[in-house]
Amino acid sequence: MLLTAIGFFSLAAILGMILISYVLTNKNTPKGIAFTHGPVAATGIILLIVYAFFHHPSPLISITLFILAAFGGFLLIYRDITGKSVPKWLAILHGLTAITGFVFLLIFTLLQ
Amino acid sequence: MDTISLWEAISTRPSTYPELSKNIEVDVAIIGGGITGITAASHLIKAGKKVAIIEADKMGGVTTGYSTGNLYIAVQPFYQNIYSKFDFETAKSIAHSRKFAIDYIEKNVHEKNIPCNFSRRPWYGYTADHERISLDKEVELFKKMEIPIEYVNELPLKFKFTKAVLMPNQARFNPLQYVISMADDLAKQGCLIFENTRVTNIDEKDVCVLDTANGRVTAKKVLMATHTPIGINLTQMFTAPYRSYVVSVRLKDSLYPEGHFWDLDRPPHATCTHAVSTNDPELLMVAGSHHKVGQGKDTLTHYKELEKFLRDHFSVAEVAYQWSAQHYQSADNVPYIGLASRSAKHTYIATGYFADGLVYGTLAGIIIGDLILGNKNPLTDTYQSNRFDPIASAKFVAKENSNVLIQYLKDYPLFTSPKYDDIKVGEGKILEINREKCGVYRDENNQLHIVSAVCTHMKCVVNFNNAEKTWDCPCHGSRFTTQGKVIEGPTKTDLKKIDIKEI
Repeated sequence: MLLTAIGFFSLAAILGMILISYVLTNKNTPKGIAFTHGPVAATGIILLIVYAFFHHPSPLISITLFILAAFGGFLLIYRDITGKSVPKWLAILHGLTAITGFVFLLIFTLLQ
Repeated sequence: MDTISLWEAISTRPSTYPELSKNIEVDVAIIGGGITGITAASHLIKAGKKVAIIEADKMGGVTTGYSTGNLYIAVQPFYQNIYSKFDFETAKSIAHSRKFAIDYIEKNVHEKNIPCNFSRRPWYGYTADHERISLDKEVELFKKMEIPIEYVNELPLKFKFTKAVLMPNQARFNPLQYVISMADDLAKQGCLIFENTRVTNIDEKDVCVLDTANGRVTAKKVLMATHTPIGINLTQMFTAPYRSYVVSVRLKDSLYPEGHFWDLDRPPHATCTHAVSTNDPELLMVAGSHHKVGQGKDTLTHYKELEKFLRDHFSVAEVAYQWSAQHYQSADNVPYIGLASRSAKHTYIATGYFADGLVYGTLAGIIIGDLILGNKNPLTDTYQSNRFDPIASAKFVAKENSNVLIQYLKDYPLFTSPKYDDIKVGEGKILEINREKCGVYRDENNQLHIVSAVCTHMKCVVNFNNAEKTWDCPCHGSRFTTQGKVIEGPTKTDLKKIDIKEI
């Protein structure tokens, strides 16, 4: 389950990097990628939560960071499609939070 | 062939109105000069209010002037569906309110002597083999609602049918001439009217402030009589924009019986006759072939389909006019008329009319007029805009919003370099230029026009409508010219023009 979650987060990370390249160059983000990135990452989070229910120890730091990143992601997509400016710092913070969660998840998985 | 409506071609405008060029203060600002706005204005002016109508185009220009000019009690989502989603009283209230609206229009036409060829005539419903709704059930419900209707053995037009019904005393008129003449009358009574003035922002606080390019309107109350609320509004999740088509022909035998004929089979067609230069019908027209806005692919095929339908049934001499128009369907089959949101106190909307908008628009004008004046109107609850009926709306909301999501999901990077030479004269294509989606159109002079293809409403990518030569948004129905100017829909902002020298 952890490996499947890592797979989903890896895909989400690739899509996220594409998205941030648009945000940082002040271009309209391709919404197909934005609306795929979110659900792919959400699937990873759900898998981690399910894992946490049945296993001890569980990757709680990663789950917390991914949930925080998800809130940032909701805010970003909301601002984007409602025509408000998308703050670059928020997009970077969202990405960094998710990457940190991903690194913690990799460490957790290697230690299992 | 041009896609100008019959009404645009034959109506006369006694007045044109200026653009708003200074700040003004009024009791009520009405955005939109169609049948909804003009009816509300009439109601409010009569009550002594200071009213301004702010129209982005010409009076009646974009929606009312492109309707089919038919007035009828029947509704396109059918009363049996309203009955099953609400109750008998709601269905009956809607049927009788529509009858009231037709009478109201007739009264105005006679009192103000409006030369709009208003004439009472029957409505017919008929079915042959692919019945999409039970005609018997609908007739039974009409009878229960005390709306006169009867089965007939003959139709005045040569349609094959197994069952047909007649509802007497419905009507037809020139809707654009009606609105133009009403506006003329209202202007004489002191109503301020501004044309070619687009509202770019609405700010509701204790009073409402409307921004336009060259002036600001301060108003105690605002009505968005814009077919769908402008800007982002929750109602847009409960409505869906569709385009339907109209083809109008002259017949070799010049026989145009009075009537409005609904084919209740699949695919649906509504055929009718209309007056042009005299008060007698001189044209036959058919409406139908609808699709979601921006999702029609080759939109010319819709005109061809309707023309084929007419040629299959009649001896057509020539196609006189053809045009298309937008309508908004509502999630629970009843329009949303009232406050713009649950938190709004001074801003009103009217939307979700289906293609039955001339009657619903009239009703909306009266209902919102009463709401603003604080008059009790029993229809307020029937059409309440902020009603919460999740069960009645669920299927529609799921279907239409999934469709919106699919449109967003189609927006992937193309990773191709733009090939301008592939675009033929009169054609528009979405190309990726500098990593952004752009709408590129080549005009008759071989000139390219490039605009951002990202809709300014909620950022869907627009599609080219080859029949109208417009960019249409497949999500919420905003439409733009090839130059990026807003034509209609919820957006308030033009598409960004891209200078070809920048590429």
